[in-house]
Amino acid sequence: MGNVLKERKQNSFMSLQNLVKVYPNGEKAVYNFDLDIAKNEFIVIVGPSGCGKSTTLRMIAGLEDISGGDIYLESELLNYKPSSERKMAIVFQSYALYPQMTVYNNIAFPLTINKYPMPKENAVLKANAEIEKLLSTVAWNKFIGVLFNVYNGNGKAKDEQIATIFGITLYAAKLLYKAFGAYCRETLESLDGKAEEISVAIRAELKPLVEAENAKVQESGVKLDEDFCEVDGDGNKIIEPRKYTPYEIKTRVYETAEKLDLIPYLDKLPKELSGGQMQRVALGRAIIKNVPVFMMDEPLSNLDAKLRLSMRSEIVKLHNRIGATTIYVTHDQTEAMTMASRIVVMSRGFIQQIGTPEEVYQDPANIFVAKFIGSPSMNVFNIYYDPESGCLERNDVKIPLKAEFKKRHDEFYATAVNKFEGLQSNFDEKAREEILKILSSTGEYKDEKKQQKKKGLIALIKRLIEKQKNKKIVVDEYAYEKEVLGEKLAQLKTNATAKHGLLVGIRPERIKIEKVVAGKKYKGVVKVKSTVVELLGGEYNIHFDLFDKDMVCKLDATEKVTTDDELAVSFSPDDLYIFDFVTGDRI
Amino acid sequence: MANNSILEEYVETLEEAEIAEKKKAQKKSLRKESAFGMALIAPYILIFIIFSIIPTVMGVVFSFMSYNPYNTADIRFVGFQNYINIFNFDLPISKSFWSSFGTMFIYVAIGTPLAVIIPFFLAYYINMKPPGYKFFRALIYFPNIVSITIMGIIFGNMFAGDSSGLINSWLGTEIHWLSGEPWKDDILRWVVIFIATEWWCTGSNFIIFAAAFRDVPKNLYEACEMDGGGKWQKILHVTIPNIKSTVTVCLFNILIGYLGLYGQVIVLNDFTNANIMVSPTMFIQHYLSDFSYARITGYVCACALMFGIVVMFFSTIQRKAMGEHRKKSKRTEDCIAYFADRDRFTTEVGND
Amino acid sequence: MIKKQKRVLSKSERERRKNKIVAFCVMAVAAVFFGFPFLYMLGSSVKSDLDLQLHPELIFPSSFSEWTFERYTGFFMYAGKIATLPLAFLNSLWSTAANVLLTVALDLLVAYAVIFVRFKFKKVFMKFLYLWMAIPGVIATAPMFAMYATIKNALGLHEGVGAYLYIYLWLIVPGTTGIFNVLLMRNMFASIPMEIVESARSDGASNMQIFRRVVLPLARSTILLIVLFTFNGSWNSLAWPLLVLSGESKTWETLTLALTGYTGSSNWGQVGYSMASSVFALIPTLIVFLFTQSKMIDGLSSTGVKK
Repeated sequence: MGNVLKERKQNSFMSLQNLVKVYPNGEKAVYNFDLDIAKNEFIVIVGPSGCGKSTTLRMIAGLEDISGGDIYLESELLNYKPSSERKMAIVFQSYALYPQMTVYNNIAFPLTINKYPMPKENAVLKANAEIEKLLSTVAWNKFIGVLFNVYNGNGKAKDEQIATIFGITLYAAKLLYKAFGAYCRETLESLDGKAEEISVAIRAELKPLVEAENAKVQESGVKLDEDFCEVDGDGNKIIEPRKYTPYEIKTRVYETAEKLDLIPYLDKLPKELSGGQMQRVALGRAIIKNVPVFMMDEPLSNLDAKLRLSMRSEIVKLHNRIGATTIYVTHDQTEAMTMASRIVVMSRGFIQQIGTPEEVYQDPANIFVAKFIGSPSMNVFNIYYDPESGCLERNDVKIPLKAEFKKRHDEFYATAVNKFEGLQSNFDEKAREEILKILSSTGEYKDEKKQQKKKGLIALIKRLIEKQKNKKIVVDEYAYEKEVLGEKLAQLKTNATAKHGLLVGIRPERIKIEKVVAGKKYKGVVKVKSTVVELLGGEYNIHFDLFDKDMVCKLDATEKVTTDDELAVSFSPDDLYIFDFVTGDRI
Repeated sequence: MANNSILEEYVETLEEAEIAEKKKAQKKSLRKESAFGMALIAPYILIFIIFSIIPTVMGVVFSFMSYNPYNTADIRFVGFQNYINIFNFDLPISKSFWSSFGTMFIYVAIGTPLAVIIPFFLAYYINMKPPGYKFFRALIYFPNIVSITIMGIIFGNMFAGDSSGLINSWLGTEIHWLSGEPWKDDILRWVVIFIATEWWCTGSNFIIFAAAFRDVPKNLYEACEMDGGGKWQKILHVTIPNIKSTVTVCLFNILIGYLGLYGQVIVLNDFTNANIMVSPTMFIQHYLSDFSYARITGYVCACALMFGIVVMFFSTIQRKAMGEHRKKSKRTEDCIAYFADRDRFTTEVGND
Repeated sequence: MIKKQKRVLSKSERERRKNKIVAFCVMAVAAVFFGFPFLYMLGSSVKSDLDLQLHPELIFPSSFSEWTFERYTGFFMYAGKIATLPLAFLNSLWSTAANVLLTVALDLLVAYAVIFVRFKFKKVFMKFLYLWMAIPGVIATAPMFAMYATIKNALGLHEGVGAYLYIYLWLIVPGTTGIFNVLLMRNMFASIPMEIVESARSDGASNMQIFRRVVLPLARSTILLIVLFTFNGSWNSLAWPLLVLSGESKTWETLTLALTGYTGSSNWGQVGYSMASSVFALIPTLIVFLFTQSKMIDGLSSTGVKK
């Protein structure tokens, strides 16, 4: 087992191994969160509120302590690293912008307060190479024209302007600026013929500097590679943390602002922005750090519906362009389905299923996932299964199933009974978690054992007395879970052989439905009356009652359907999802 | 045709009547509501006018008068005479008025920073929720609602000038803490006043700061942490900007409160000491309560107005200073220029 | 296979613990500073006179026999007559209660009118209150006293019940229109969702019913806050009573005023008595504080000082 973990750590980009979160008050929020993430994946963790998804994210980000398990990023253990060193960026639901800073300063903030590891460049030699390249490739009249205009223009930071225009480093721009200084007083026409002279002058300006620098490099014995970065003996670049220069910060903020359409708002304070704009600023602050992992904690929940839709596609586009691995937390299954490359469905601290959107939708592992994913959600109803005939029965409806189902059914119950018996014979913490996981997927609630603590002195004294009393009796802390296990096991045993109930689900779009036309004969259908009809533009969501449950199905709006219309409903047995109600698992 | 037009007219008038009726009804209900609303605020306004507005206006008027509530014959307008008298430093009463300002300034200059810094740090630490923080919070707040006389009794006896005082008995000395003469040997009394004031006044600001600390969004700290901010950067970039408005309001309250220094100098005085420190509020109080000074009520009013103007002046300055200062930033322009520059050479070359 | 993982504390957790310890130490020091004077007060009030003279350095009595409670019993009767202090206590109690009730009632009325009733001059009224806050009250002191004295002379109220009531009218009423309290209440009312009130109105509730059933329950913590503020202000007020009650009978004084006789360092033999009086005077404050303190902290942070 240890080897498997080790292998996973090495093979995957990011490996989350059995993450556990226990709060100081003993409450467990996340159980064995186990997930490997490949590079550039868009993982969406989805689940109802309180399922532990945000806690998981915060553990990964280092904002919450990890009670158990390990986090590896590129085979490096992250557990004990402070969050600033984890090479991650997080976007919060509340945007978390610094209210006193303008948009520009908000985006620039991570760059201004931190050192970032960067290769050590030799500024002089690099500048020389850049200018040399420029001089040899450039169209001369244009080059001089631009340079001349910058010189005589009224911009403030002219060296920065030159650097921007020619795409060279600020140092190179400064040198160029200095060298050109002698010619700036002349007229543009007179300079036209002097291309040769100017290039000679520029080179002459550079030469002594370069020679001195070369000598220095040789003397110190530092090796440089072709990018003029210092390298160690093996030819790898030496990485050293340094701060960004103001010019670098400026350009990077501008580039980021352009990507996010924030240029008009750079001077605004967060309170002057709309929700969508604030969220984009928060994204910008994450992007600018240029980290391999992005985390988003319900970033769209504070936006209105329309904006949410557009931001959704914007985030996906951004992800495709930047290519950072993204972990996205949401309670909205539509967001999960539309954005994710893989979905993690969680409930009450347990992972219910991990898979691509198609897998999760087409092939739900248990009843919880089936109900949670999809909109409108899956229709689920109770029905009896008769092992003799191999049919699903309820009232006078009979649905014959394929023969192979019986085999699967028997196998399923045999293994389930086996497993439960195993758990019962050796009940430990792990077995308890197993039971809790089953409860989390079936949606049954554990009895509220902990009562609300009453406040006040008298209540406190009473509690103390109670505690003293209870000390003498040995309490079995697993009593409740054991009871549940016993019940479940008994049920499973009867289900294995006798006629029993099952949970059956069908997707709304899989139900075939048509309006009953008087006189027409129908075979193999159930006639129902619509209770609620919702028109969604091109199609209807039609509600009707079947097996005492409210069911929904979709119908193209080609003919008008109103409430209380008689409808003929049918579906293919192949489209049914059959679940065991005891464990919640799919059979 | 004629019938028709008559009919139309009739309908029109009918409609008009209906509209008028509606408007009338609406007006009536509005008027009724309006009357109800005004009836609700009437008691407040009545009391407010009698006990706040009239006295204040009278205060301004009296300051230009010679006024004696006990002798109507003495009442007449004197123009700016009262103000001239205030600035006439030869008059002993004016002298004592201005010296009371000195007392007040010392108190404000030293007391105000203390009244911000100490609660700030206490609130900072209580916000870390150490064990028993609720008890500590209550204990630190409680002195704030103890009456000033009780404060005077406790601290007066602790710092009693003879050997019976607690502090003196501990130190084995007989320091006369509270019997200094103002502007001469008064430093010890100031020390006691500031200790007592800290004890007495820290609570309210402490509670307010603690609430402000608590209300700083947690996500901001986390964002700062993710961005690589350390402990001090968090304080600088997250805590302080977020509690600034609260601090401004508190500072304003402190300033107003401290400018009105009154009780401390009365209650923290040795019973043998006749030379009591005088603050402007006390000065005004003193000349009002003494029957024999009733004839200079006009002068006292002028003093009060002067003092009021100083208070307003300081509070305005403080508000201005703590208000928002936004540097004009032109990042958007700069950014547009940047992208124009970046694409300039390539496009121009491309045109070639 | 499950082995119990030893919990290694991460850096942030360790830091949090360290912070808590540091904070506790700071709070402990603060607790000594803020709590000690109370201990001193309590201790001195039960030390015998002999102990007060011989052992001023001790907080509590030096031996068991030196404990005395006679100062507490000595309040009510002094030299065979009813002492002035209990009377002062009663004066303070009723005037403070009246002040608090009147203030809360006025604030509720004004806040309700301003938020839930449409009437003319509403904006003018609020604007005026805002502006008036900037004017220091000290300007009004002298004329108010002059008014008080003039009317008193004119009515000839110099002694008897009439004079007493007249004086207390002037002690109670001027303090009830504090603008800060009004704004506090107004902000609280403004935070009540309009829909609640509107739905109640559409259900046919009258203004009175809305006020009693909807608004009042929601305003509870703000009311408590104002009660605390007003109680505190009235019970502890010194300057104005000192002015109005100067030259009046001792038995008419408020408690805070009566206690000024003991402030500063006291005479020999008076220390214990003054301390016991202080403890006595502190009791109502303590009761109000205990009832309101938890609400107060919430109230302050929600409605309090934010502009």
